[in-house]
Amino acid sequence: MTHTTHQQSKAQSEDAWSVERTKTGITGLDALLRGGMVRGAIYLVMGRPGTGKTTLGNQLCFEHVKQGGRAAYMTLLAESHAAMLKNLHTMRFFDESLINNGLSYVGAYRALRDEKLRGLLDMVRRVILDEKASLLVIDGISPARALAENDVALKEFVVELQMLSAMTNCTTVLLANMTAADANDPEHTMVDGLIELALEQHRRRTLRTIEVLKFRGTRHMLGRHELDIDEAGVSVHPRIEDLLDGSGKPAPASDDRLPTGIRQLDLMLRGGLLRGTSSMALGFSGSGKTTLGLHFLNAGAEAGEAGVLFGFYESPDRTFQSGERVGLQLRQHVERGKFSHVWQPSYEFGLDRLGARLVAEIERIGAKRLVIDSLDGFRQAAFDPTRTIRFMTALLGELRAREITTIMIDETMKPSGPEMEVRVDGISALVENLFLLEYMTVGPRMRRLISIVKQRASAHETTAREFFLTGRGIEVAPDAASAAEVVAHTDDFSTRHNDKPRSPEGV
Amino acid sequence: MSEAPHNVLVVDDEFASLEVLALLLTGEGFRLFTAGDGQEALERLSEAPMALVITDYKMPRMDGSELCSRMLADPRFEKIPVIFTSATYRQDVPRAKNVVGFFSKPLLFKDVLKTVHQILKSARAP
Repeated sequence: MTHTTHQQSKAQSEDAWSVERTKTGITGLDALLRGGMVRGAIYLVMGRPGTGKTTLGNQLCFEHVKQGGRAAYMTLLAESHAAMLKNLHTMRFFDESLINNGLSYVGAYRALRDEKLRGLLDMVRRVILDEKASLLVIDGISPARALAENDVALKEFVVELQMLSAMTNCTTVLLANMTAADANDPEHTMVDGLIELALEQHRRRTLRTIEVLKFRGTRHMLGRHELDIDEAGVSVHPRIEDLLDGSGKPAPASDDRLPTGIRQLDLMLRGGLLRGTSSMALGFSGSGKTTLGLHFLNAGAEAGEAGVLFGFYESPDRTFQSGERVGLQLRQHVERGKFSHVWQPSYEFGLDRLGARLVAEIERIGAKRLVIDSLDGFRQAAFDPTRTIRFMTALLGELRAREITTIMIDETMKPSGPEMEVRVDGISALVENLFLLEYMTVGPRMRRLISIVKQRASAHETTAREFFLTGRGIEVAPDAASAAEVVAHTDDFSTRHNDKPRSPEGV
Repeated sequence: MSEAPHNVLVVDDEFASLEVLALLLTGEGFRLFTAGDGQEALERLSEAPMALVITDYKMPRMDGSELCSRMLADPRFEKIPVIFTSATYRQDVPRAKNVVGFFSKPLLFKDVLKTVHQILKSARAP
């Protein structure tokens, strides 16, 4: 017999304290948990019926086995395994070949009913050891509470289950039909982590949410985050403000100028937009904002720089048609992988899913240019409108860090004049560049003006210019003469919409 | 004819640690005895011949170190191998000569089981 050496003791001691994490494999959840679940820990996932607990529990198992682990899904008093699997089999994570080949389904109610909590604990022991499970999901923990002799017995059971998980290094997830509001039971206080799934009602829209209420040993993301269940299964969309928290290294300020595709506008900007900056193009409906955005993306694609149009309103076909009418062959750029149109009706998803989609598309095509058409889409998607500015702050910060040059379009409430409103408070302070597109009637004609209200860190043209929407797209007048004439002769159209007359120079 | 199960005494003042290690070892075919501290452990040792003692280091009334000393001082128990377990045990603490293994808590059962089998096999060897 040999004594364990001091060095061995130290190594063992360090091993005991080290934290090994198991990735859940569920989109967004590992980010929320800052790397995944702690191996050998015990977690309680709670929520009312229909919040997605069973789907989440099963998906955890399938993903775990796909990553090389072994999993067991244990039910107490829940729907039959056959019925459950039938409901899950259309989801993409489902893989029948893994069942009984790394993933086992076990019914444990009889052990609980006949031998109470001691019988259930022994059943858990057998399942973990016999199946060599590194993940165990116990679905429907409520019967264990109902059959416990008393609160102390239930507490003992949870502590023993926690110890069993730790000693066997098997991560255990309990699924419970309860909410945080009744989170005073022993299982809430004893477990290593508490996760709540919920359905939030916002007028006629329902949002699925996930909140990590407790996660020992981890600085997890706080607050409620968007959760989605579709044919892929469960996905989590952490709040962009938390996910893109500015911890990445900001890109150095660049002097590189990007042509907008509108020659005279580039001259007004003293060479184009500074790389990595964000711009806002403000204007009334029909003022030419989207066309400006298409010019910008087209110019990038022609120079070999990929761009994304993240739009909420026009379908891709309609956008291609609009481009073709002004000589922009966007379809060709799609084929070359230099242009992508993400069309996303704003009412379908919340802000974070939209943000995740946007970032994913930028990464997919390696975009360096982005047009958001429009900010209103994000505003409409927000369940809490006051969050829009925080969301946009985080998103624009991330885009800057990635050196993506962005034009964000927003519609004003008035066609022209100094009172044109921005509909998200504080947003104009977030962007480096601000364009104003106005139109007004002079006699029978509708005439358009473009101004650069600001271009941070650079000189720029300070007078307004008239511009024209032609078969070649936006064409800007070479000087301010016609703009001065427009302003001088502005008739009642603009004054009907704006109370004050405006100055011919600037805005 | 199969061998009689080995008697193993697990000593720990922490309820869950004691119960779960006992549960796991019972599942592996051992005959388990449990005690909540060193004093109680000495009583258990008198009740049945133990093949192995797995004891926590820090316990009220009588700790693991004192238990080992008492076992060494008693000819009935001096040859019983002991495994120490502890969440706070450090290498500068001297060990008695009957301590043949050490595990930091939280224990990993597969490591404990492997060591238990090795110790018992070694004890059986001529």
